Amino acid sequence: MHIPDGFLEPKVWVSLTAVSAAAVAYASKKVSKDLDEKKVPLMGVIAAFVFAAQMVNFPVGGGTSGHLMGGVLIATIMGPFAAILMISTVLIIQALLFQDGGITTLGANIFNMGIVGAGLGYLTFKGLNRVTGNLNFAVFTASWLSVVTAAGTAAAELSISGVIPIAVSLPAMTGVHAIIGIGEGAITIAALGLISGVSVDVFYGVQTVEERKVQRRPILWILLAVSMSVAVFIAPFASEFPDGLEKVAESLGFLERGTSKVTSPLPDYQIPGLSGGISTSMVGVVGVLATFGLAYMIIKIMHRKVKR
Amino acid sequence: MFDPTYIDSYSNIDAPYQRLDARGKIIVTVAFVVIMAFSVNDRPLRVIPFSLLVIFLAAISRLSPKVLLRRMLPALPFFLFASLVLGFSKGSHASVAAFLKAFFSVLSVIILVSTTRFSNLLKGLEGLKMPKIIVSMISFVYRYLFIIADEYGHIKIARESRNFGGNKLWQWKAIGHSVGTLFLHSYERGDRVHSAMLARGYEGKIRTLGMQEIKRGDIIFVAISVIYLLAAGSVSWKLL
Repeated sequence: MHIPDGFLEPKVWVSLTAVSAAAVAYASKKVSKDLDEKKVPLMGVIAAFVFAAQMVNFPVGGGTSGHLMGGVLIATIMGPFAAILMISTVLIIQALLFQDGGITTLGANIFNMGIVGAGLGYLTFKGLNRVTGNLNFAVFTASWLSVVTAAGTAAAELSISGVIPIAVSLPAMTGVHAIIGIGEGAITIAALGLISGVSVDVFYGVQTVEERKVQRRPILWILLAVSMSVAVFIAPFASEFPDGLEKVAESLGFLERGTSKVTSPLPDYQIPGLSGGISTSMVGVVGVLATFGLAYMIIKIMHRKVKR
Repeated sequence: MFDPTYIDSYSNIDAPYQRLDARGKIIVTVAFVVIMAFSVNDRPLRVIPFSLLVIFLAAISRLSPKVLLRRMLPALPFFLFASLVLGFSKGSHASVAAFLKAFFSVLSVIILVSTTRFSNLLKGLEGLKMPKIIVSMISFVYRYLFIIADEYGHIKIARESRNFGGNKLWQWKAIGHSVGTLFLHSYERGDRVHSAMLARGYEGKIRTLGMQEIKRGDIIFVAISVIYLLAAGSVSWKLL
């Protein structure tokens, strides 16, 4: 999944370098404040562990094997910011000493495996654990998702750079990694299970059951309110430009092919018969409510299962 | 698992390029990769002026082409595959250009790391204001990576010698437990290293004999290389 120099266009790697540099700077500030800075040797040795863990091969069937990414594994123990720093460190060493990944693409690789892989993976883990209360389920889903989304963003970067059309790269990359992700999830559960058997407070920032009960609902409603306001106020201004995927589709001429098959009830985020801005806001609200409802239902069903 | 001696085995040769300051070499390498990435733009001919600089650096570092190519070997299959794919979507010119860009970028990085002692490289990165915490983490990964990778090798041998096999779920569980064990060992090792460092007067900062001094030669080297790169970029933009 390490993208080498020469295959990404400047606009892609320059913007991702900016994003990753900001994230790494923020993470190192956060870690220096949170964790005792004197503990840097410990962090360094554990970063070496992350490097070694990434060399771990596991069978995925059909004679092929996958590599461990370890993003969620390390983020659940050390916290997301320390994890982003460790993975960035590992990626810098891989680029410098092992010719795995490039210099201009370092930002993109940190984005895929550090920010998306470990950071987003950790958020998924924490969110799922909070609503379902099932550690193993949260760990597995977060690990699986982190591998698949990291592969997805790598595929998107390559296709925005025109290396390979998104219609080919996205299914190929996420398909393979959907299988590898199952191994990653299972191995992460087993590893964390062993570690938590030895040391009690393994999971970073996870509240106990009593603490969790007190403040679940308000957060849910705040999140809904924020999403609604984004949909109402920001969405109308965002839709002017085609997004990356649409742009690729347009330039490669398969946009028509993509749109003509199914008739959407709300084509191109507009309600037929209503004018521009208001219409987009309305569709945004409908979309947010629909997503929220669906997510709420899924969570409710799973919650009941877990309780039983 | 891999040979730890290979990283620094050529950095002590007495050659002109080895004597330059790490900061200057890092600046020139990054400038090379970045300016080339901006100027080549699917035209393979434009790589030529850039490749000349890398070949010149390889010459003044007295590294044999065989050594350089051997280090590049692991990266080549992916370059070939990716540029082949690119050939189908963007045409042969873009494909060759991407391959050459990737090839010379990696070559320049290999020349940088094999002519600079790793400790100097880290001092250079710190001198160029990379966050301190990352620089010290890199130095610990460099020191402990081989030990921890070896340890995983031992765990793996132990696992294999106890008839590792069976269905996939069972294998994943066993591998997961190996990884967990490796983490616990690393954590304990990190704790021990930390205490040992505290006992020797560590207080959150690693003290080293200051920076290398920047000599006139370093400034001239950086200035000429960067001017050459900018010129190469703009001339090839117009002509090729």
